[in-house]
Amino acid sequence: MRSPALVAVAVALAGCNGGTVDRHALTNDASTLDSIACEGALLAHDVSKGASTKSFARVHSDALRAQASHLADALSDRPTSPGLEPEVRKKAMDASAIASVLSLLHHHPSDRERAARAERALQRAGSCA
Amino acid sequence: MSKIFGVALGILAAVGGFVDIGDLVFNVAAGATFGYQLLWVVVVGVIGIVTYSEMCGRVAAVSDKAVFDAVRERVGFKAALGALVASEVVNLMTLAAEIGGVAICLQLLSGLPYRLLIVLAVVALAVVIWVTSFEWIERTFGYGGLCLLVFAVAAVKLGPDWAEVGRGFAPHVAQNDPLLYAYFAVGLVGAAMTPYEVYFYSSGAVEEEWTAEDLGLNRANAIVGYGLGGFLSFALMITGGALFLGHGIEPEHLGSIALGAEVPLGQIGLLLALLGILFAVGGASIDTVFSGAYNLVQFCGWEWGR
Repeated sequence: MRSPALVAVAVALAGCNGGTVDRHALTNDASTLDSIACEGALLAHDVSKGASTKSFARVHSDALRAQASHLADALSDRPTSPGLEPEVRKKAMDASAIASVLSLLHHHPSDRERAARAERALQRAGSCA
Repeated sequence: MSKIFGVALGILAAVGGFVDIGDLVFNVAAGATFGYQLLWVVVVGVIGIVTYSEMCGRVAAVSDKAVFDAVRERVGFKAALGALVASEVVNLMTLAAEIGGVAICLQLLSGLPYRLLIVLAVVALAVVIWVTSFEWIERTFGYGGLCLLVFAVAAVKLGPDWAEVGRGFAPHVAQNDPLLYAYFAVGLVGAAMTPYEVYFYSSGAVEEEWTAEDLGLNRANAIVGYGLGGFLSFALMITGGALFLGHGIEPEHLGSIALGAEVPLGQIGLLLALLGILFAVGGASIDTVFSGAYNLVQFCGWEWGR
């Protein structure tokens, strides 16, 4: 009776950033990271043009930062498939860098110059269209 | 003349009250993932909600019985109890999501802490329910929800490929990732046909003392109100497709939806979008609370009404 419950808990934990990072998971996480960076770039662009509000920029950039930060933590800790570790750890650093840029936007939501720099950094990080 | 005015007001309230947190999230996410390919599913969902609401409104107008009165009477205690429990569980989950949406929206407007705003949102909604009349609740939140029309302007301003938009209304299955496509299709129909809307609509018909003479009003409210509400869903999906798909963005936050109006329209677009979301989601929270109470008292045969 206890074994199925333990298996269920293990499966659930594996789904909560606890499993091995294989090629498929890395591709998904990389795509999510690009999405966060590109959305952050759009927000930073609006801030740099004075087209956003201080509250919105502060709160939304923080939501994106938290998402990037969780990805960074997960990718730096999780075991990886053989041969994939350097790529996964590199992606963790990219995620961390994106979270740092978004953190700047969060702390300076009405600084247009900083926002313009953040926009360029995020566009590069996410290879945005 | 006053009757026509009443119909127009009811329709406007229905338009603004159609969109809730599920519609907002699923329509924009569907647009960001599959472009305009799922527009036809919104049409299916709108036909579904119009059919059910019109039917329940008709039953209420002719028999003076709202949904759970009729269910209890027709299908017996056990089956009705099962339906009641299921509907109350769904109502509770919907209410939790809507209140969370109200708090996030207030946070995006004010910058105050989220947890504090959840408490404030619950207290504010309770006060509104306690002190405001049914008519004023319906109309205030319905009209406030009309701010969401900003997404129609945003969709046009973003310059979508209209031929592609037109093709989205023809039913088809996407070639890339059909399972995810099916997931979104089911989610969009579910978001359009949220059960609380039907309970609220039929109980409202009894509250408003509709009779057989109001069947035309019932039909007009259901078809035009929900039909135009579907228009808001189209606008949200087109905004998602035109803005997020091209940038490879998977919108996962309520703020991302508001960004869809900010990017093409600036601060005014952002503020209208946030106000529209606040009223639409706040109104849906209140409708959900009312629906839960209506279902319980109608099932138990207690006296109810304003």
